[in-house]
Amino acid sequence: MALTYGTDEWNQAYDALVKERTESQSKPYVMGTPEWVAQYEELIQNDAEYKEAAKDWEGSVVIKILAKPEIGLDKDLYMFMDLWHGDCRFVKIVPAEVGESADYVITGEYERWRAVMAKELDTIKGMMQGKLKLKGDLPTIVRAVKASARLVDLSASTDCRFPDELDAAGIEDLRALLKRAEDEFGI
Amino acid sequence: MAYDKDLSFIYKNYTRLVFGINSVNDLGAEVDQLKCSRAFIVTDKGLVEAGLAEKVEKALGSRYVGTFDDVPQDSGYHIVNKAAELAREKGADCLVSVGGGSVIDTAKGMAIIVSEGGNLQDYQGFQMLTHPITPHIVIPTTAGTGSEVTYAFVIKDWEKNQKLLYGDDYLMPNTGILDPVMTASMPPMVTAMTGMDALTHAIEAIHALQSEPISDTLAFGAIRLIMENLPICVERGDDLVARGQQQIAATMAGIAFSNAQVGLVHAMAHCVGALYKVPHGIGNSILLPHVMMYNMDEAADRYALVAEAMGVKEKGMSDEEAGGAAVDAIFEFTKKLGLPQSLREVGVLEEGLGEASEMALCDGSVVYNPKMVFEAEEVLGVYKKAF
Repeated sequence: MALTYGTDEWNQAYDALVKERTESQSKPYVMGTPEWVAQYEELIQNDAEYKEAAKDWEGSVVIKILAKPEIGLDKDLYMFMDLWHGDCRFVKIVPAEVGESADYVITGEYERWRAVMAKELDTIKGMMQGKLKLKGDLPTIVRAVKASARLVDLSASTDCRFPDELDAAGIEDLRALLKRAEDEFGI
Repeated sequence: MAYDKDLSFIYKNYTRLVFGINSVNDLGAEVDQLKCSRAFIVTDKGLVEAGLAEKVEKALGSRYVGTFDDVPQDSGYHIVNKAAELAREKGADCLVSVGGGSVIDTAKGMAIIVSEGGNLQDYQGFQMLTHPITPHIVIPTTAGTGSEVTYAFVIKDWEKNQKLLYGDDYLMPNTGILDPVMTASMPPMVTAMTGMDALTHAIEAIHALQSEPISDTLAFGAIRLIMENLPICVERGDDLVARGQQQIAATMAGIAFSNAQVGLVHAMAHCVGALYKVPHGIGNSILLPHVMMYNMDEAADRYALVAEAMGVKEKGMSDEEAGGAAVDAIFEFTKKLGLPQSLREVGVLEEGLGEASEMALCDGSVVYNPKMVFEAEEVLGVYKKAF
């Protein structure tokens, strides 16, 4: 039985998972794993340029990566970013129902997000071209173009391995980790 | 003309186009082509009075199930939801919009609700639809918006006094029927302003960051047709040949910008439209040359191509000189069409330019402008020049 999202129990268990993975996994972390997400969170929280660019931003943003079983992503993955006036309160992997309830949900195939991180695809242009889908108000996102660009820069600056670069054993490890996250956290 | 070495794009145009004098009479066959049998007309009172809605109703014959003719300028959520409810009550399986931008945008919103249910507010977002929606045939009665081939629409939230943009590939109408007869009764001023909307679409498609060879070719073709035919349409509205060429140009420009996007002109025109009810075509017409001048240091090579299409590029001109010639030609062209030359003339207040500048930075079009715009102060500078 998975823990209930939003409870102290859930948060403590999630933090414990991140700690365990951070200590046990060798860098670079695999993109989309809790330890990689925590690394990304820390980068945002300590970035003065992001704080300045996002000083007027209000609202949670979810990056939704659509399932791709051949690389270990058996279900859609929701990366929830709680952002408020330049502060990054947290970035976590969350259950689907929580992810879908965010103020802004940006959805795309794994390849699209990989292109975003490689700076081959601009997030806003991707939405307008239909390469990414947006739930929420486009003009608000457009006004935050500098902040969104900085978030992409920071994600690109994380030293990481991509799931499609993993060998068969690595993919199975990722699949097992995400299954564990589903069982314990409802993710 | 050079494109980036890493050029990549997705070209989209799903709309079947039927063109010709009295092609509205093909409407019944086009409904059948879509495997539909219960067509619902969306239009406005003016077009009913002009007898154009009746013409369409007759063309539908036994396939006609009803009409919603209460579409205002700046259509709103409540209009779309009410009209969709009526269409559903009538058992409509396809929509036929007869009108200009507001009517077509209303029908695009209805196309979602008729097949998917709920209210339009439930679908706010970008590229959120997952499958085809209610089939939609467009019969434009203006020649400028290009809405018969575009993937977006704008609707107003009258309660919050906000204009909201919806965009989705599934919103592209299935069919556009371009019948010059349907545009022949447009008054000269409406002809001129909607025509300038089309010219702006074409030029913005050329300078937009997502421009590519296919959209460029359509845009160049549109510019040539507009330069030649729009003055004739304004002067002699009953010239159906010129009307037809202008319609084709507007559609070509629509396809071009739907793929390449638009830039700062549209972002700024949307804002003076929202704040001061400046008609979209007039806002575009006034702002276009000023934005081109602002962009010149980044986009002179693109404007040189515009000058070529306009027929004002002379041998030996540098890109900047040719771009300048294009700007001058646009000023000249809009004067010749009898259009206003400044924002002041169309009711914009100087004290509102700051607010408009802030708003412009929230418009999706701004991200495709060839010169990156981050500060409201930069936009304000352009507004002041156009004031």
